[in-house]
Amino acid sequence: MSSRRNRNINLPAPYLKRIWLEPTLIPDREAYPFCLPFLRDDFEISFEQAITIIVGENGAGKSTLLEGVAILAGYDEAGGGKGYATVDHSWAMEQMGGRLSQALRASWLPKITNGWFFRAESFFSVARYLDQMAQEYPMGGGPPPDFLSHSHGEGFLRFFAERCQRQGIFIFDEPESALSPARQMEFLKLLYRMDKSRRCQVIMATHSPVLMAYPNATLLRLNESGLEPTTVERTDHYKALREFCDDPKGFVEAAMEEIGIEEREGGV
Amino acid sequence: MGSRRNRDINLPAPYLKRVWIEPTLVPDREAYPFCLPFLHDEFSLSFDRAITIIVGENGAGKSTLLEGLAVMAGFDEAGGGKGYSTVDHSQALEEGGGELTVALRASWVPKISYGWFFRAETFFSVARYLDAVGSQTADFLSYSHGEGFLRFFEERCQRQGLFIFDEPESALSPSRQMEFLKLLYRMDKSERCQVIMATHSPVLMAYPNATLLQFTKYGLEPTTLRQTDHYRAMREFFADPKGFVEAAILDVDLGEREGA
Repeated sequence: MSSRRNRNINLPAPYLKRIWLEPTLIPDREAYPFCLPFLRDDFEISFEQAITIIVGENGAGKSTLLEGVAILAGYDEAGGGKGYATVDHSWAMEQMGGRLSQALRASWLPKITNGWFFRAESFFSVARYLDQMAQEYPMGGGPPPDFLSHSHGEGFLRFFAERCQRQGIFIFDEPESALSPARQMEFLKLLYRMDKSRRCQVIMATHSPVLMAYPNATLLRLNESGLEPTTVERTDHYKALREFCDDPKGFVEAAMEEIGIEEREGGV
Repeated sequence: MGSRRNRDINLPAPYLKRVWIEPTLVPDREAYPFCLPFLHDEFSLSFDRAITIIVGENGAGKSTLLEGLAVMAGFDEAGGGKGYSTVDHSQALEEGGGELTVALRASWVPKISYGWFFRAETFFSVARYLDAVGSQTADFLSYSHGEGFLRFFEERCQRQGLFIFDEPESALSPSRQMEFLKLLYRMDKSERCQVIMATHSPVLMAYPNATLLQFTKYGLEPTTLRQTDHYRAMREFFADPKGFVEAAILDVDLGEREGA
């Protein structure tokens, strides 16, 4: 018999409906992250579909935004789920998401407490922590999970598949890292299963056009003025890789040539 | 005035010329990593150019091989350079690469002791460690992931050495990958840097003037970009993005119907 606390709520995802910036709560407009151009006073995101995909260049603030949402949901900033906050990030210098969440407000329907915040760079330590916990506190008597004995990409997918079955909100920051094209297709299947279950909300940042092409998702582009709807074909990532795909040699030579020019201009 | 030890050697890269398995030194043929099919008795890998790029599906053993090379060169297995081995991996379960080295032999001309072993998944802890020991240009983590990567690379890849990269494309957007190509080009042109890189990125595979090797179950063989599964999948995707993704998803429905 399940307790009330763990019972699933019979409403379909998305559960997090909207987040917005509350300007009166901003401690310092000049300091990071509030100096990021997209964090204007009227900043807000509405989540209309179960799956929301965010694209944008490195450095635009995507990761900070995801961290902020993760903290709002109650997850540890360095990557992990509720109750896994002990993964050591006492050294972490990225407190930006934490700072951002102080000035963020959210509406949920209903508030969901289960989920996972996954970033590529913290997978290693999260998985290590999970293994360690499983060894210290064996449950069910089975062998401990052993994500690390698999190669990077395989560990990823086992980890995802195991964690993404329950009702919850799942935040992925560049899950494509270390996934070969074949593994990315596996990941698309995972998204589809989550989507179809209607119990999983996904917010994902990615550089991969293959993941951006997931149908039935809201695709948003983060730029200086905020988030705006886009299509995969209009993204810089798609355009650049398409250009590469049509003429790999020419594309790479153009990059090389640029250096030649820079060096000549430098007059060395 | 540089001491003899730190003086550069006036020979062009590659410095690591060949690695091979010495079958008599294999402790247990049945145990990992020696049970990997590519590690048969005749396993040998020659490096003819400064830059060698290895492609292959996850799980084939690419990372284990790179770890083996890194440990052989004296780098810490969990990612890092010589003298940076204190990055905590006391709990790491992946000791495959270290075990591999007991049966690996190498020829160098000359033996180079500087270099770096870089894997995407350990960048985070390596960078954190560097910050802690107070590297002058530390603070990589206050940049977004991709930017930290490139600063980190650029700082470390100027000196003569052997550089091993395991999937450096992780978290690099296409435009950052082009920056990374430029870094490779600078290293290549310096003639003092040997690079051995595993990647899933067709953009990085396309680096000209590199040896491109396909990692198969049975060993490594020369290939071309257009022959790789990664490039083919990319082509197929761009020919029909919607169809490509729908085909992947269709499998799920079919699988469920079959399961029912």
